[in-house]
Amino acid sequence: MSLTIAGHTFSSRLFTGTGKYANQEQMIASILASGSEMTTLSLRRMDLKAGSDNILKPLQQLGVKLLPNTSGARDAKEAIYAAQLAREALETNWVKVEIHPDQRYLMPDPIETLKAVEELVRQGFVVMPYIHADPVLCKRLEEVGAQCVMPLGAPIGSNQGLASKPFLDIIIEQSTVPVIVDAGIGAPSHAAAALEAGADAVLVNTAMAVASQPEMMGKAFKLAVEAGRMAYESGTGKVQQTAEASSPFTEFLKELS
Amino acid sequence: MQLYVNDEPVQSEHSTLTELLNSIVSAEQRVAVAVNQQVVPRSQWSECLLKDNDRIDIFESIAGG
Repeated sequence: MSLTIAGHTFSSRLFTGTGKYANQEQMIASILASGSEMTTLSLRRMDLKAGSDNILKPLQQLGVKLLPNTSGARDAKEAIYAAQLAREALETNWVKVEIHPDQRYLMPDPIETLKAVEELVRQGFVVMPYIHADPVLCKRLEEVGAQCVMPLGAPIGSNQGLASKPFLDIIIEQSTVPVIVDAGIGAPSHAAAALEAGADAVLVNTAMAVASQPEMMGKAFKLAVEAGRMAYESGTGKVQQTAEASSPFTEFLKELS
Repeated sequence: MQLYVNDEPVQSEHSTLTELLNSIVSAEQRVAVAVNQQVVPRSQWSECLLKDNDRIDIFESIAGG
């Protein structure tokens, strides 16, 4: 059941984010209930007057692995800068590269992402790129040394689910690195569907954070991801147009008539 | 000397990056620092000499997906 990325083994296939929670207590409770072993963080310039959130301490106490992202970067150069800063701030060489120049749909820029990943791999980072569900791009990222790919299900925070499903299927079929479906997962059923289809993991943030009961939703995602993976490993039956009886036909019914 | 810390003008007599940071950030706080947009690893803070008009950017972790 476990998943290994760059030599690190995770027993949970649910990765989480720390954004959008109403408060820190809910965030911690939700992540704990979800069983997630890796959660994302962002970086920003400190507001010297306002003081800091101090989000790190409770997360470190929780024992989850911290995955900095490059959110806010508009091109490869900014993403590389953000990754280098994050390595210092969080003492990790893991980074989720996300480069979205467009604020309305937050679509990841494939060209800048490929450039950034290539350079960051050269600099010794474990790179997890957030990308569109583009099978060709996934192969290119694999070639330059991405440790996994993180195709979107739908736009970030949109809760639309696996709108990109046919392309996710191609990526899952072709990929030699773990496929983590990121963005758009709005309900546990979406996460289960991704895992059933053979995705190696999902990353969920908004759906857990904005739930009226984030802790319970964290648990719901945990169960959904476990169920989806179990179903995948069990092997689901083939889809067909016509019926196929589950009970054997016997002469018994004829005898009644 | 004149420094800019996160774009704010600051008059400072601190000669090294460590000294400047000690005056701004608490010891347990985990930050990343760039001088003139070059990331300076923590291990080099004490040797990093500041000069007039340097731009120091201090970053911290925040919630995000």
